[in-house]
Amino acid sequence: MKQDIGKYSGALLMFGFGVLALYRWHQTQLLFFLLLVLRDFVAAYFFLKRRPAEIKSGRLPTIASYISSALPLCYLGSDNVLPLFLLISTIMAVIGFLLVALATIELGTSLGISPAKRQLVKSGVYKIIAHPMYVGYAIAESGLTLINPINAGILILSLLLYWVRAKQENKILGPC
Amino acid sequence: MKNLLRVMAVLLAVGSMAQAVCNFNKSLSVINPVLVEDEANLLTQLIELKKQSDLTGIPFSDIQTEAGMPEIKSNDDFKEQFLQHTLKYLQTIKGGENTVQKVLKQQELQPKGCGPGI
Repeated sequence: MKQDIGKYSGALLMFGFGVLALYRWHQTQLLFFLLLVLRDFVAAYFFLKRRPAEIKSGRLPTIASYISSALPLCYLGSDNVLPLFLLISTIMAVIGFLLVALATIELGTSLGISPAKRQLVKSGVYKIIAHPMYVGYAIAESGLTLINPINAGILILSLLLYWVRAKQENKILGPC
Repeated sequence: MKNLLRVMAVLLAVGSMAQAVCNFNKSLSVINPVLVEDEANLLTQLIELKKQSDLTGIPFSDIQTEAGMPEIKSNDDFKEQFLQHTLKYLQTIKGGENTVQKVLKQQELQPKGCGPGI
């Protein structure tokens, strides 16, 4: 079995995001960033401890997964947002990232960026939603479209890639 | 351990939403309609007074002002009163003062040393 090098880069990346979120919390005092800190550090820990994959997805779905993971960084902000839109967008981001955090906690050592067969998780939030992490990201990213309509293009591409990832996961793990 | 993490995530999410709602309430422009109307009326009267003085050439001190109007005897009095009530009008709009500071810093509004002004 090949050594799982990806877990170290994944852990490092998530740790980096966690530190960045911590800095943003320090700057803004917004609790939302602490939710991101929790999620990112938990993900970093689970990446380090994750079990090796029994089956991995092909090259194309892997590339699609990495592009899809990087896309949320491309969303644009805006200086002139209506307070109501900002509120709705923030609430959508919180709900979305709560789902993402709960899914990360549930996945535990089965966490991965590209679809792979580790252990099928059907507990917690996975009992209610088949792909809570993608649903969470989709909700949060839809909120970003409210504050800047230019983000709609990124959202469409992002949703398409989540759909591809979900299909690939269903194929590898069996239908949920 | 997982339960603790779940609870922490939910608590942080609830706290984030509460904070977002608080920030939304703060950002709303809370306008006191009575104050706004009073200040708006005063400003209109001051503008009319200035127009009348400019058109007729009559000094401020000789123009009959309406009841409730501040006493204006000179151009300096007018400037002071006009600015005071403009600021009061802006203060009735929450966040108005911050906007004034921001606008005053704009390049095109920097004093050029001459010009009509008020």
